[in-house]
Amino acid sequence: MIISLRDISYEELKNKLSKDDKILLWSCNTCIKFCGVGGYDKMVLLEKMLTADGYTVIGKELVSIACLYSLTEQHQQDPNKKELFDEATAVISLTCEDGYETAEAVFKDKKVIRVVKTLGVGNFSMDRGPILTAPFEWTELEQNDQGYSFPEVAEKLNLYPTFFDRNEAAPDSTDDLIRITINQKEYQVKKDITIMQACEQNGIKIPHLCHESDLTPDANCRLCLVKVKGEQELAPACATTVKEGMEITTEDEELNHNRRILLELQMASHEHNCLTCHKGNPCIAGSCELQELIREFDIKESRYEQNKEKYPIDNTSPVLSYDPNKCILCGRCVRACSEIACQNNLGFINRGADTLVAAGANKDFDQSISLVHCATGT
Amino acid sequence: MIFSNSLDYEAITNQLDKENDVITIIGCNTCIRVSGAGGPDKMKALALQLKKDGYNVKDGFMLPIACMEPYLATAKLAHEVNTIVVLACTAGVSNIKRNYPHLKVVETVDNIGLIVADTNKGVLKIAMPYEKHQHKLGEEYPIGSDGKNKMPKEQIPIKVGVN
Repeated sequence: MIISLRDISYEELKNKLSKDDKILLWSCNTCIKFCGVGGYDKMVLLEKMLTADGYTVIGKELVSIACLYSLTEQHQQDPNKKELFDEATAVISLTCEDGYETAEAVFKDKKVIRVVKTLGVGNFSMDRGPILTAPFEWTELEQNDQGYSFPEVAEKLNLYPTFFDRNEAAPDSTDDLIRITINQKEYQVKKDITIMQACEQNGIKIPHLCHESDLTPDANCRLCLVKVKGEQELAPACATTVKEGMEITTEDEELNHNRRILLELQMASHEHNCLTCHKGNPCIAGSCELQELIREFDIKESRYEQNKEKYPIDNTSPVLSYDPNKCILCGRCVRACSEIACQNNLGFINRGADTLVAAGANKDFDQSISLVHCATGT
Repeated sequence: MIFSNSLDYEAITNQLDKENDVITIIGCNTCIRVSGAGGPDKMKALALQLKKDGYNVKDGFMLPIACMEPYLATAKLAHEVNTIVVLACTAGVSNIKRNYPHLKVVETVDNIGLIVADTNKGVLKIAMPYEKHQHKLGEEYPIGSDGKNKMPKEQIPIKVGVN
């Protein structure tokens, strides 16, 4: 992976911006994410900091691989995003210098701001995180298979080993805070966020499979259903916005009973050998979230009859293998393909029990890369 | 992305011992496949060629990303393996050397530097080369061509090397 470290301070970043700028945060979701200087979470953090300091952030755009010129152009020309790109006057590029040069070439009419310095290539190690193993010669560091840790490199090259610190910006404004109650405890949260976000911010876990913070909510797995006082129906936490005075229950016997049924139905829908499969083990390569929930809810078997019909595994892609027998149709790969990879070539085909994820005109999986977004690691 | 070009076949076999080396090949399926120096097809071709030439190739593992340690755990090496032929860039090689310090690790590619690419046109452009390949800055090649068939005209309108 390409190794990059931040080379400007928050003050220097602010000096490159004006209060009139309409800022778009642009981040790659590959190497830079593992270097801790990019990815969706970092864009959220930077948006908070800049907003607290009075800057206008109009959007965040995550791109799967920012050093692809064609992909950057596709994002810019996507009809769903055109307005955002037209309106932006400044783009903060949370990408390596490769990605920055690409962004600069595509967003010609905008101020594109670089945040990192790219130093060479390296590894993501289990014990030390990202390390630099093959530095560019200008760094005056020797190639080293053991790798240089980020604090070590930052000190030698006068760079920053981590992302911006939230404390460098003004505290959050209290003007747009509302009071809500979750599980009989009162919290102050930002208005216009979802129940899921409010809960995550306050350390309350709601089970989910189809939700992922960097994708638009779809509310199809129904595991995040919660009770909202005064509402007849259960509300999907990932797609319901908090309101002043809202009283929410995220967990009780009835909700957990519903969740257990949903998980058992998922187990029965295809051949899910959750009790013996190793996919639930946490791993950077992606682990099975379904199995994690099956374990969490202590489900040993499904009381429903298992669908034993087997679909063929699609191995036509050079980079991924799609096993429809393990797919839970959460749609995360479909949304990631459309929203992050900007390809729009994955979708659902057929109806009901025959529904499958398919690529293009249902030919094969030879173009899409939504690997990291799979809930079951299929 | 990282751009690498294949070493000559002889440069690889010169590092191997027909009598004593029990070989596994570990490949990467990311940048090096785009470069044209690796990927499943190259790995198969290299394995078959080595076998044909009398080398003891035991097995092979194609990792999605060879520069990340967690993926390396998916390569279950046979006990008798004492040599790893790495079909990955320098970063992948370092990762393997660090994790298998007791085994001989054989490199198969030369790292050129970092690239930008246009997948619609099927072209890549060298954006940040290592010093010994500095003369290649801005050169463009077809994706998957392994540094051959240099494009005669600029295809990707990105100014490289100016920042």
